[in-house]
Amino acid sequence: MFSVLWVVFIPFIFAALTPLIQKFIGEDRIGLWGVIAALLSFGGVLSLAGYGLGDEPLYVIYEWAPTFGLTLGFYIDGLSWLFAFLISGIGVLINLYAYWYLHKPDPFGRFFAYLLFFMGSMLGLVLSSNLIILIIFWELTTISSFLLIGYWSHTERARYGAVKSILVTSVGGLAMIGGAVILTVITGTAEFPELIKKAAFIQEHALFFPILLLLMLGAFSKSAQSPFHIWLPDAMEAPTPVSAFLHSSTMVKAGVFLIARVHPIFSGREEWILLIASIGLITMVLGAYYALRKVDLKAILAYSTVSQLGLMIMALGFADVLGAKATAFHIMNHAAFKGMLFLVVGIIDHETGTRDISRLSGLRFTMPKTAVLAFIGAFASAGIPLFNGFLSKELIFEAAYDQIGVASWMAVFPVFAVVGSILTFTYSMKIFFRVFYGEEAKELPKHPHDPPFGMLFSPGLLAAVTVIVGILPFIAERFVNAATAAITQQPADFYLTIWHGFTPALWMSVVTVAIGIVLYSRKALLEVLHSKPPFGLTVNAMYDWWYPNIMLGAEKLIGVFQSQKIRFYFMYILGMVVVLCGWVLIRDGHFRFIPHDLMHAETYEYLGALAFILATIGVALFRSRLAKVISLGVVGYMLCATFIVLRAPDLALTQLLVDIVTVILFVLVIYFLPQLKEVKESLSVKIRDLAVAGLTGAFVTVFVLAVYAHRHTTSVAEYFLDNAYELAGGTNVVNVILVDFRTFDTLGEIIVLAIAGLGVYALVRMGVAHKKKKDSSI
Amino acid sequence: MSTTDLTALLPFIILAATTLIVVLVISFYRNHFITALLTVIGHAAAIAVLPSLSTITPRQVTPLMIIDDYSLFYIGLLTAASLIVSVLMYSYLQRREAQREEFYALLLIATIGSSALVTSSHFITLFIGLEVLTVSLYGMIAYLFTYDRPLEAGIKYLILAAASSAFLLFGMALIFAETGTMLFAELAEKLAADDDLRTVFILTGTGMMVVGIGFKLAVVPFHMWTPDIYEAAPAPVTAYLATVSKGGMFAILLRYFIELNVYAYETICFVFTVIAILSMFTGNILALLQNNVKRILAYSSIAHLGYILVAFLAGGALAAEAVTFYLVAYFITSLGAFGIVGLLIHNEREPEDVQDYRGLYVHRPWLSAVFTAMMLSLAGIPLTAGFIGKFYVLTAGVGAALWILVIVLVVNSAIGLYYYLRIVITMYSEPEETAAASGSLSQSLSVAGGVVLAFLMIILIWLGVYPEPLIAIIQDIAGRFGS
Repeated sequence: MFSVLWVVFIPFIFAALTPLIQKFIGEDRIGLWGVIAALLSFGGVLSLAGYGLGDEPLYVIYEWAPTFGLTLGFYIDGLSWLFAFLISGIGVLINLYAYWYLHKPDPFGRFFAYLLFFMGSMLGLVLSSNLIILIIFWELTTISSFLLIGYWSHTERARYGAVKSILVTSVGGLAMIGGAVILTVITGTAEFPELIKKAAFIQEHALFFPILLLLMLGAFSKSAQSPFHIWLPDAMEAPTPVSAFLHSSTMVKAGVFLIARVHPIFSGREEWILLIASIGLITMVLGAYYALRKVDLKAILAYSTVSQLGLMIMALGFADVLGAKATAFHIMNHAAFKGMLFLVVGIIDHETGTRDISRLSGLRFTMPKTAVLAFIGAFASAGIPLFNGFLSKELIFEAAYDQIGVASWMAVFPVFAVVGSILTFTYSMKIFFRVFYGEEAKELPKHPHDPPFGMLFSPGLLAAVTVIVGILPFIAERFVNAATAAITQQPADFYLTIWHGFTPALWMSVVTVAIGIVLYSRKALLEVLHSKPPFGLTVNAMYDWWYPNIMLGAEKLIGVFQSQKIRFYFMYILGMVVVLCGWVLIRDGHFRFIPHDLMHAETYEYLGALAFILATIGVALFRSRLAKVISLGVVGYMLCATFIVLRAPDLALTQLLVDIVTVILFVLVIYFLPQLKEVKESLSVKIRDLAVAGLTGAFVTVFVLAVYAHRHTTSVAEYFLDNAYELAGGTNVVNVILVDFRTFDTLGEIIVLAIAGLGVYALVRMGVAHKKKKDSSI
Repeated sequence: MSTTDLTALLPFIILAATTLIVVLVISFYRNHFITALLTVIGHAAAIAVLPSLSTITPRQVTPLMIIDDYSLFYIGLLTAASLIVSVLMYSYLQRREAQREEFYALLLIATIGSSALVTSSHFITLFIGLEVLTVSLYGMIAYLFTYDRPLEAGIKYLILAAASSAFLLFGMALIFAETGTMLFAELAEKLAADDDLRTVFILTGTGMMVVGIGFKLAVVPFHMWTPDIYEAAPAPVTAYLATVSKGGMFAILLRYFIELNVYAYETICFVFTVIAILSMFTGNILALLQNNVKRILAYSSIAHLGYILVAFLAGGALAAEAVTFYLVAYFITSLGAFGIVGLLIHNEREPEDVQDYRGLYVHRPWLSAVFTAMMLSLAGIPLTAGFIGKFYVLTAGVGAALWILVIVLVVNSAIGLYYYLRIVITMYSEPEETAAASGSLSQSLSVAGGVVLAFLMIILIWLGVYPEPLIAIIQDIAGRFGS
């Protein structure tokens, strides 16, 4: 039980402690810290083998925030355990390899911290029993992938690749969250074991396809399925151990994992086959085609990974036991041989200084050990017997061939599977023979030789697995059976052997190899494939157009809205008031006001209003500051006059005092202020300002008129007049209000005055102290 | 006014008394440490009496104020935030040339204002509480008036805040003109009793109040002041603006909406929906392109208010709970983030540029760990309070079937991730080998500031790992209130 938390959180804890540990053991040795973390995690996974390979899965739930159904649940069955095994196992090897691979001045600590962060997220992803928690870990793997691709952030390509990967995969991730939310809402649970029980209900539901599509968008973008594959080749800017770990053997398989996870929930309807198998098939062929066209070894491997992921997804799309079995087996095999090939390419890059296939040749003389590894990897990838790739690919062929029985149009699957495999065979041969055969290459950036043992160890181990499983496949039986049982939710009991007799699948393999050899050996045929214009590049072009334009747009937006000028801020606020309230007016129609009620005004009132208006306009138009202040004063006095007309002498008095003080203050400081700058505004600016001001004014006027027609209020004065004598025994109502009705207010006012006095005293003292200080300093 | 009433007002009385004592002490004996210490003690005493008051709640103290568990919780939250700001400001002012002592009086008065705001059951209390808060803030923002930028920011804030307050007042006047009352409870009765009252006046009145409220909350399109003023004000004051000022306003907005059942007005809900969507997008997209940490945090706070509005619009008890929880998480992270910016002040300059943080982890591993935790919480990464808060908000949104808002929230969380991560990545990048960079990052830190930050980080992670106790408290106070 405890070991599940251990497996997932050990990498996180170790990652968080990396900067600290680095201080103690030194940067050179921090790689060992990563290896230890991976080993501890791997040990934890092994201790769970009883659940992963046995019949009874482990399902543990930790309460987190049960109030809103947030629980941290883990579910360990054949599928999740197989992934956890691969992730932590390959994690150990990658950490070990990276320990030798990295060299100064790259910051080591950061690399291993990110790598462990990824490992923890990925383990959490596969082990969690809850779709929501899975998505959270999913996003964490996206982040860690982003960080690792951008590790060499000084290069433009690395930054580009990092941003592209996170953008493309998060779009899918967002779609996935949408799907998960709908699924949770209609079923009331996000736990996989519960969802599986409700599979029939979900498949009947009207929202079945939207949910499936949204979830699959997430899976496709993560597993680089067409048309989301564009991010993976650019992700190859990451250091090679990262490419081997994240972008071939584990993270990109998260999509495959998700499809396998939801297989028992969604498979069974036709949409599943149509959507998933077709996308898989298209990706598989396209990926292999692009791989063939590339000259950079890593780019070849990147597209090859795209293609192989397509193959697995296609097999899962068949929604039958054989497809599930083939996928489970291929996941293992691909992780081994592709991870190893990446590590080999890392060695070649490291030792020769280039990955360009057109510059490399004849390396078998100088790097014999590496050549052996490359041979194993390439042949496994090509699907040659005695290597593991052959076995699982043949299973997939078999599954594809079986589809003909389901519907005749589905014959496209075996046919195109063979086409894709022919291309795969061809580029795999290219990887090995172009690089290691032929004349010994001259003028390489470095003098090539086999790397130290440490760098050979990890790919060597993977190569051993590739060969051993290829010859003695029954070793993998328990893994494959447990995973297949988890995917299909039926007990699985298969045997894996090399020889099945002369089955259709075998003939498909024979055809693949035969045509592949022809294709590879006839240069002319290869040329045809190379010369064809790339038709899939439009997706990339779209991305490249869209991204900078978004950035540009955002910058413009800032320019418009964030001018840092208060004048514009005002305009937006006023404009919003007019729009907001004006919209309400138009929307809800009516408002009452009674015209004749407003008509009876005396002549002097009209005159006052006129003065009011003129003075206000004056404030805006006068050039001199003094004139503006005086104009403002007139506005204030007209307000006083209004209060007097409305029989509120106390208010008028207050207003008068305020105005006098304001004007005096203005006049006092006006001496210190700089001259008003003459600003020449263009006509359009003037019109715009006028429009904003005019609209706001008109709007407020309408409201005041309307409010005037709506008076409900009763005067408070009546209450005091009625009760002053009775309750307080005073005839001077004002006095009674001050000392009886509002005693506390009066007390408060006195206190406020006292505080203000104290404040002034403190300020005066401060001034005196300043003066003394100045005097003494002179 | 009975003894019980006065007891219910104890937090206010304590804070007011502290203000008086602080002013008296300043008048006769200027000492920065003693002033700050008095302020801290006053805050602590005000918080300490709060639990015992829950025995007399709910209590209506005069028609103006209501002391219930909800008010008490928010008074506690705002006062605690203010307490933390006072400690941070103490370390900050120690490094700057200024008359230091008066700041604490302003801080105390602002906190009294915001506490009054959350207890209001009457428009007058709402307005006066708001103005007491705002007027003190003018002084706090421009407190370092010998520098140009804070002074400019203070004046900008003054002009815009005054204008928006005018709209708030106008809106209140419209509603008063239509209903003849300013008491929330009476308003609610009248609105419930009479369908005809849902006239254009109530709507436009509320619309105008939205301008004033929106300005305080800094939501789009009333947000323009935020980055400018966040950037220019002293970092602890910015923290205060981001937390106490906005939190108090949000608390009263929620109370107003629930008591008056404003949720029944489709138009107003629509307006708030638009505001929420605009705030989320504008905040996050504009933050993407900033290089100034304080501006990034300013834009991000706009987006966060948008998130809170999503929960707010969900209505009902769950909304009150989610808003409250999110605000707690947001308080912690904002105080922490701005606190760090303030603590690292050096040579009269705050480290504002993202590049100033390059290599922070080499010089200050603990501080960068705290900053990382704050950023991750703002981004909503699990095991931080921010994640639980965001999940709460999402639950509320999904529960009320606010699909568009939920989708916008999710999309924006993804966008937000980039700029928070950018700061984190920069912190862990290799430091540049210049003397200037190491200078600002390697000076000694104030002990008090360090303790406060450590405390914030512990709470942040504790709430992220084990949120149930706080959720239980919040459900207790908000659940009853919202139902």
